[in-house]
Amino acid sequence: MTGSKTKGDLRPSIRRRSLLGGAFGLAVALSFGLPAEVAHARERVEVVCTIPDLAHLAKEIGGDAVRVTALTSGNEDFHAVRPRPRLLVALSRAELLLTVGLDLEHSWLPPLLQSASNEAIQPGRPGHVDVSSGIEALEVPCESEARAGGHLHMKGNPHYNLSPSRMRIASANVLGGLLAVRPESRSMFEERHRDFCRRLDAKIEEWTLRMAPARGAALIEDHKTWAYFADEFDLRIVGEIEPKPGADPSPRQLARLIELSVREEVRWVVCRPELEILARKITRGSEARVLALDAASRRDEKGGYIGFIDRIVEAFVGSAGT
Amino acid sequence: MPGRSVSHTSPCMTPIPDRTPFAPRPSDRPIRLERISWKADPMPLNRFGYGLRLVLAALLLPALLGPLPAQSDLAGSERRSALAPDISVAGDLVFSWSDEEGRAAGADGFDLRAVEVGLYGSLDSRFDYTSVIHFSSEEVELEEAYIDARDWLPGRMTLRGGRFNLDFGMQNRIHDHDLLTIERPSVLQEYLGGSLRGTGLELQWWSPLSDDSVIRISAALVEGVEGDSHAVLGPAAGHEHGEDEDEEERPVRDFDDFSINLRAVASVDFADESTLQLGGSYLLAPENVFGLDEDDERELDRGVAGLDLTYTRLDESTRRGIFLQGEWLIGDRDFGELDDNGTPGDDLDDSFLVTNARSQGYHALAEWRASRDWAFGVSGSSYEHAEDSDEDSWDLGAHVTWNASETHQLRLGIRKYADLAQEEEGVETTSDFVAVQLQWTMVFGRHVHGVDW
Repeated sequence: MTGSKTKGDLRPSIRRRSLLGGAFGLAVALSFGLPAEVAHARERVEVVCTIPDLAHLAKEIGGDAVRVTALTSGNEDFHAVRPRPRLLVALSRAELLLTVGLDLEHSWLPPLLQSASNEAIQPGRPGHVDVSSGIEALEVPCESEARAGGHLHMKGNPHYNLSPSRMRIASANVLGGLLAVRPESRSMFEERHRDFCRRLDAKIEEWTLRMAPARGAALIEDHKTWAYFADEFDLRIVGEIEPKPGADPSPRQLARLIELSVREEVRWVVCRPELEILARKITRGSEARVLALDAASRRDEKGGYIGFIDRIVEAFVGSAGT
Repeated sequence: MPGRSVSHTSPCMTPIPDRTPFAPRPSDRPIRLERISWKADPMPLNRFGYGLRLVLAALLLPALLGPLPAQSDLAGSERRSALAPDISVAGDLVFSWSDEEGRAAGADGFDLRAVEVGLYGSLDSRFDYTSVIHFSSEEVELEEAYIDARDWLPGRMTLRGGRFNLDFGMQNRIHDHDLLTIERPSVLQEYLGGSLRGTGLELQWWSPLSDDSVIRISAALVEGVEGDSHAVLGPAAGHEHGEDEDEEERPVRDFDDFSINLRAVASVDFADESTLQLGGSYLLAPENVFGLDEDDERELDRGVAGLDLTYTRLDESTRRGIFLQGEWLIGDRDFGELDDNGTPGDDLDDSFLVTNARSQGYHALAEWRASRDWAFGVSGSSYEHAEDSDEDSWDLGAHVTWNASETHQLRLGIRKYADLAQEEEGVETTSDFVAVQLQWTMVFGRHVHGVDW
């Protein structure tokens, strides 16, 4: 389509002003006027957790005084969570954010926090709790390892949720976060925390007894994940399926793992469910069993965090015949 | 099929050498747009001097803004110091192969399309900065340098100031090495000149609509809008970015000459795996030119509107899923041409004609993510030419992507181009060919992405 225009035509100027004014007016009106903004009465503490394990702790300690949302469902690759609207909405409404820390969420949480525009849960604020505080990290890479590349966690292995005794420390950090945002509920939170610790301590004794026959047993993991669990129950990790994070092994590397499995008398090859077929190849010719396990609890985990460790211990004990 | 040469010149009119709305402009059409370009500078030393100043400015900006405000409220903060920014380096190497016609269109071997260095950090709890510097075999370019001011304005508003990719469509803010295809869709190259960039301010606002849905609106007031293309193949191939060779002769600017970019998008989650997103964008970019002489200032309007729809379904445990995206664009642009009314050399009877051309086109992409490592996709564009809707082009291709590791990615693509129009010194040629491309991208250091609005 063609047309023509003269020098004195004012149409474009008016159109631009109208557009700009209209957009600004709409944005201001919506900023102050949307029902969604005022619909959330904050009777219960809005707690957002990056993984379900932390959500279970928050629920244990906060009880009915908290509304807990887990940003992940427990079976994702926590290093590569897809930022999406529901995560943003949850973060924008949160009063307390519980993170695993140790760089587990570093690729996706910071930009979400930035977009969420919720000052209460920005790093450094009382509403932002790094639950790893006070937990001594394992597998902190040395300088030469750091230069080797891959998505190394420079602060150490972040999967301490697989160690119940370390999650006891984590629960104290969760309690601290709740007290910071809702100090008037101190007695209730503290009482529930004591009760959780009593139950957890009793279960740690039970799990330790059940795993005792496997002390010193060797395992191969898919990815640097199970260090805390191995440390807790005195197991040996002798290799990883992934030669580098995110990379599948070559046939030669696979052959080495099979040989390693035999030589070290590996009892378990532990992997994410999607790598089960690959893990089964490693167990050829050895007594090793494949354990396809997620490294975190599910949102709907029966029995919460304690139920999750129960399930993990049962998987190890049951598959090893110990 | 041999190339067909099509000339758009006529005996009584000056040629229209620039095809894309935001592509480089000829030197005989003084305009106001400011560009960061060194291609037109005959002195390489000066070119690099200018580039280095920009690069140094981007690197030193955080330092110059110090000392930083006290961050007593950030005890134990995870924020990085402004003087110790996160750094990323991305490399993008493309090998293209085709027949003679395709080689003439750009599919002629290796192309180190970019080495990109990104710097990211926080000035304090409310200001973040981003700088992206692009190195190619021909130039150094400050692609983006901006500050985001958040938690500063009422509601959920964020103010972005600096030089940045405009919020237009789903792909405009994605750098080439992060695209799902080797080349940016041809229709975006044709109507936007690649990716749109400008210098100015952008106000962003978003709000929840429910627990699973959000709406987001952005409005930007910018100048110096240019289409920046690093394409090896496509309508904008060879146009690194817009050049303005006669900035000193531009007409005086007033408020109405700034460009306006608007975008609204609604995004809905279905369960944990699926997200549907609908967006609309509009850019109005005026262009001031001299008509018959320097006393004759003319305003030419250039506008592009787009409607995009994206569906993502991804099982995050297996990394399997599908990705569907489509975008429809309408271009509306004024063209100014000097008509000598048939008397060559006699300026007295010349007249300056303004004509308007409207055109439309679309692109679509479907990708199947088979695992965390492998993805297979098909994509295509069909579009009327920006300056002449009677002419059209299309392309259709397929690709396979292998994520060799978290830092390396290989992509193999094959694409059929039909009537691909490119120009050389004001003469437009069209060609038909099939090209095979292999892309190797490497990304090191921090490289994070927020919500894909």
